[in-house]
Parts: sequence; structure tokens; C-alpha cells
Amino acid sequence: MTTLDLTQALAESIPEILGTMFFSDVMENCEDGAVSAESLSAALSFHGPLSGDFQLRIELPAARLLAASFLAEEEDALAQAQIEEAICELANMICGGVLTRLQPGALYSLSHPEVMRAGDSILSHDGVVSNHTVCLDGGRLNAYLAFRG
Amino acid sequence: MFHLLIVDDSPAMRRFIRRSIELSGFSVGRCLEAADGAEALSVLRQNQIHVVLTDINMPGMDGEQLIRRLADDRQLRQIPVMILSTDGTKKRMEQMLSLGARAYVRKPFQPETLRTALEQLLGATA
Repeated sequence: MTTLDLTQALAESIPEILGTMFFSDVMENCEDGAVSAESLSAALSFHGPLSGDFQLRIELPAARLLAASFLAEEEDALAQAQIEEAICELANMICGGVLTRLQPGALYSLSHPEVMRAGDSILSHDGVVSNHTVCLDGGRLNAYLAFRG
Repeated sequence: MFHLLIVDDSPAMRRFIRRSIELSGFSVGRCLEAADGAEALSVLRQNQIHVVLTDINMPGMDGEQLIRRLADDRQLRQIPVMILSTDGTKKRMEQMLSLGARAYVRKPFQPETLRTALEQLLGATA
């Protein structure tokens, strides 16, 4: 397992899930840049032949658009809890999709995704780590996956 | 008309699954919901349900435990169970099918995929 394998799995999983479940496309021309502080984060851990953590950060306008699309709801009608639920589901699906791509013959268990509060972060690991950022309508999405040790 | 039970701890995902079934054009009678396996068993004992669509990873009684409980229940064991999971690994699919699940659909899925799986499961042309 290399960082390259991981990055490729993230790069394949994200557009597949966004396109199929959130009816949203990844923009092709995405300028380099970090996800802004006005964002929502969801994280989960996984255990199996390899264990690790996954975190998704998405800028708020993009999170609202994705949640509205996922729930077939008007943006203005969305409650914060609904946006968080939709983003947690997105995190769950991306993480599951990446692990399935990387190790289709393995058995993994995933924790329940949780919304991260300001200051909570899992972004520090010594093992194989990959960060992948894409641009969506409404802002950037960053996915971070790390295998422990 | 077929009556369905959707089991998932996420209200957002339950809503998405319900909408996907509607979008697929599959004719459904009642579409009930449960947040975990225990609630699903309660719903199944009180309602006529033709197929259960369940997630695996749920707090409380998860999808695997639900399948085991259904398999042990004389009255409920004939209700077909379809797994809807982000886990698309071969091992997990084999595990769930060996326990008694009758179909396995990986998330993400298209509405048409769900329709095809439901039609195969129910032997119907909806």
C-alpha cells in the first residue's frame, strides 16, 4: 500500500459517490488552495487488516448544496442537523469506497461518522497518508485518509 | 403492491433510499422505516412486509444481528433481506449472503440498480 494507491482510490471514489448519490460533479479546473475555515468536518475510523482514520472537510456553501441535492430539499429549508447527516453519509461512503478499492478481499469495520468541532482534528499520523482536494459547486472538499503505523 | 422496510440509522440515508425507489419507478405499497435492527424486528412483527432493505453498520442491533435474528424466527425468516452498504468487499458480501441475506447492493447505487435488485428479489416485474 502506497500513498499513490491511496490517492488514486480517493480520486476515483469521490467523483463516483458525488455523481451517483449527490448528483454533483467535480470541477475539472480546481486551483490549488486549502479548504477555508468556514467549513464542516466529519470523521470516522476503520479497523481491519489495516486500521486508520478518515476525515472529510467541506466548505459550508458546498455542504449545503450537496445536502440539498441528497435530500431533495430546498437549501433554505435545510436544518443544520440535516446538512451534518448528509455530510456524515458522504464521509462514510467515500471511506467505504476507498477501502473497497484498495483491499476488495478484506473485511473492515467502520465507526459511525461524527461531525468534528472546531479544534478537533485527526490530521496527524505516521503511516501512509493521503490528502485529496476537489472543487465543487459552492467550494472545496478535502478528504484525508491515514493508515496507522 | 409490495410493502418495504428500510433499516438505516441515518434519517438522511433512509430518505435517499425511499426517493431512489420512487425515482426508479418501482411500485411500492407502504414504505416503512426503522433506525436499527431492534426497531426493524418490532415493525416486522406488526406489519406485513415483503422485503427488508438494511444497512450493516448501525448502533444497537446492526444489520448482521438483524439477519441472524430473522433467520431464527419461524414467522419472519421467509422475508427476503437486501443489504445496502458502503462496504463492497467480497468478504463482506459473502459473509452477509451466507448468513441469509438474499441480495447485496453497494452504495453508491443508481435507482435502476435498486429496481433491478428488487425485481429479482421479489420475482416481479414492477
